[in-house]
Amino acid sequence: MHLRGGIALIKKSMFSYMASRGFFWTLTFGWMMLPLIYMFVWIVAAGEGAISGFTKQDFITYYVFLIFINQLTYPTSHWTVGDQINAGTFSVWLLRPLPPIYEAISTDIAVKVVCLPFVFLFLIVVSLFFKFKLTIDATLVWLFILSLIMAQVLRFMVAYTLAIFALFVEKIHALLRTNDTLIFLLAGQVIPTVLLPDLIKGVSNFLPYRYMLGFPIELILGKLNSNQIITGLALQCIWIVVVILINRVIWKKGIKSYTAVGG
Amino acid sequence: MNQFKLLKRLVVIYFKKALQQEIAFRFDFFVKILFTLLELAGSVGGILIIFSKVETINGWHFHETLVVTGMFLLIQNLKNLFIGPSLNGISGLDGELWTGRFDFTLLKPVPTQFYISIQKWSPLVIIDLVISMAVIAYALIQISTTVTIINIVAFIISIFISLTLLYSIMLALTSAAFWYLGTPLLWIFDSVIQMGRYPVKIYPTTFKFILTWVIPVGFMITIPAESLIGKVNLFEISGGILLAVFCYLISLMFFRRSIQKYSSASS
Repeated sequence: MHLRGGIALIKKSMFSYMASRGFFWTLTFGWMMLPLIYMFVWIVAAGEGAISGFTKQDFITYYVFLIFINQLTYPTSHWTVGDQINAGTFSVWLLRPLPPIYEAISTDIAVKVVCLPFVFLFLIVVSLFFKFKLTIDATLVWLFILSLIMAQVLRFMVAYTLAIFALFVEKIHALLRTNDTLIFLLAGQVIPTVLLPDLIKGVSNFLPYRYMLGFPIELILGKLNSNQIITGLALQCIWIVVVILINRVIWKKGIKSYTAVGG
Repeated sequence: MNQFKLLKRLVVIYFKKALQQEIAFRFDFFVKILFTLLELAGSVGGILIIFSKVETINGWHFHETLVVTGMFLLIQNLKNLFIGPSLNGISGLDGELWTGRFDFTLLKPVPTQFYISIQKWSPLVIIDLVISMAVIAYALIQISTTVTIINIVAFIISIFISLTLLYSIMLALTSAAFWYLGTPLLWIFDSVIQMGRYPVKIYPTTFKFILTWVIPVGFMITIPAESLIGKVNLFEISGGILLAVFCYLISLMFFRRSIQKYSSASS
């Protein structure tokens, strides 16, 4: 089993990151800013009325959740994995008696743990300021947790799969940035995906992006009926399987064409 | 006068050097274009989606908001042309403060503050500048207001205010890096300026006030945009000039104080 080694790796990354909290907190502040701006804009746009069933209060709840879940699911490792491959330090990972994916997972978990206190503080301030209210259907909680875990896995796997493209090509930042822009537009950051214009909504319902971020939030807020929930969860599963399969293929081909660079 | 000529020559030399470096990597050029298009898609897509749901946000129509978005891109890119890269080279990750190379910068026979503000350029950002101006021009044509001489004068003054504020804040953050080494403080600026993506005038009064006078993204982005549309008033322009001068003097004092704090770094 690789698990023991994996846990050791997580601990190592976490402590070394803890030492440079300031750096990560600055980073986190940047990630939380954009959703916060969209919350402002939608609060103003909704005014005292409602936009397709979303009132001011709904937007506040939605975006407070979004800031939190975006933080939980945002994979930081995909930037580092690509850089490591390009720099040649990736060879060190290959020599370890652990699959390199553990390195990526440990980075991810470590960053999240280090950032969490700051995220909570930020969210508490925002919630108090905007009078955050929440009524949750108890049965939805379990479904929410399930879909949140799947969202996490999906977003990580997509990012990691794109990152190991670096085994073939040198410039993968273009790919990763495209991915980030699509997430920004289609995953529910600009607008809850249920409110997207019909045509784009149809597209976003089939792409994986909605299931990385927006879907769990819409679920817990009770904006989806049981049919939509079942379809959503099924699509999440399907996408995870598809991405993992693609990942395996790319990994097998890529590792053969990998030639270390650097000295 | 001699001093001025020297500075002008330095700017030209550093720009040429950066240009030669960038031309060496031709593939990077296409990647850069792609990034530009992505940024544009994100910004314009964002407001297109919002305005597919609502007609106006607190009195701001789509094309007026588009002017602000264009101005946001313009100011960002003016920053990215040289102020951003140069100051980042000092206080960013692996910057001169971190590695200790700042020793050599201090020894150079040119004014330090000037040197650290112009030493690095990203010439390809000129493409972004052209595109952001095109966005502004397109939006202005759609609004079909006649841009008068007064508007243009107001615009030039407000762009000056905007850039002075931008430079002052970035200089202050760079100075702060002398005290808090290892924290990428300039990133805070990049996060906060995002607040200017939308006209600050749409927010409730308290926020509007804070975003104009305390965190002056309003002066940096909304007011130059408004001056083109012809919505600006004399009070704001004159207030802006005072604020800009005030901020510049404060950050200049802070910078001089911080340089004295510098105690080199070594491995």
